Amino acid sequence: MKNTSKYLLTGMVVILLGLLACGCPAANTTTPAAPTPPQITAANIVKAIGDGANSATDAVIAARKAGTISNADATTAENALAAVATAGMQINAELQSTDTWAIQQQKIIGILQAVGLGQLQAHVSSQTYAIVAGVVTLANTLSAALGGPTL
Amino acid sequence: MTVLEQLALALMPTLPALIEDISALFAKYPAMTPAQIAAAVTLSSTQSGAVFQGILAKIAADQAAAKTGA
Repeated sequence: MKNTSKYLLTGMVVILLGLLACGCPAANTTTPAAPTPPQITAANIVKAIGDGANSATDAVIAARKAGTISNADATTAENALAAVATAGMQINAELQSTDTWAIQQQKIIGILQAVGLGQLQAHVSSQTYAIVAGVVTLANTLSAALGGPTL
Repeated sequence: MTVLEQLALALMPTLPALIEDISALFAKYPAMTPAQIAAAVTLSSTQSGAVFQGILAKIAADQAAAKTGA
């Protein structure tokens, strides 16, 4: 009986020392943060695109009124921003659909590509493009997050 | 009492906390339910949807104004 007790105590001490040596002290253990589901990440990026497009729209309108960009450039930029807004609403609808995430990803990438933001830079002045460049960056962020190509 | 026994007694109070912490290390990441994900997506989409509608309205108004030279 005495030997059994001794073995138990020895075993317990060895286990405790082993765990401490492994770097598992009680004070340093924290519960890991939950990863954000990709649908929520995508929805948040879409929201950022909306906010960015809204600011860009205000800036384009102000620049047109101030005469710092041409009416033609303003119209081209506004048409691109309108396409972004329409795409944003389509993406929102897709994110709320019953499609699987894999299908949603592919459809959203398709919606983004259809906006044609890649061609915008060639059709407006650098000054006008600078106003909407942030929106293009955000759209590319979403495409990249979905595993899609650079727009 | 041997040194070993004294050591074991000294470490005894930390045992429950150690077991709890080790269990936490092996626990799965807490996951959101599909309903929670859908609710979060809907909230974000509703907010951005209103912004997108506003953008379209502003652009339509500006393009109409531009045609009249405003």
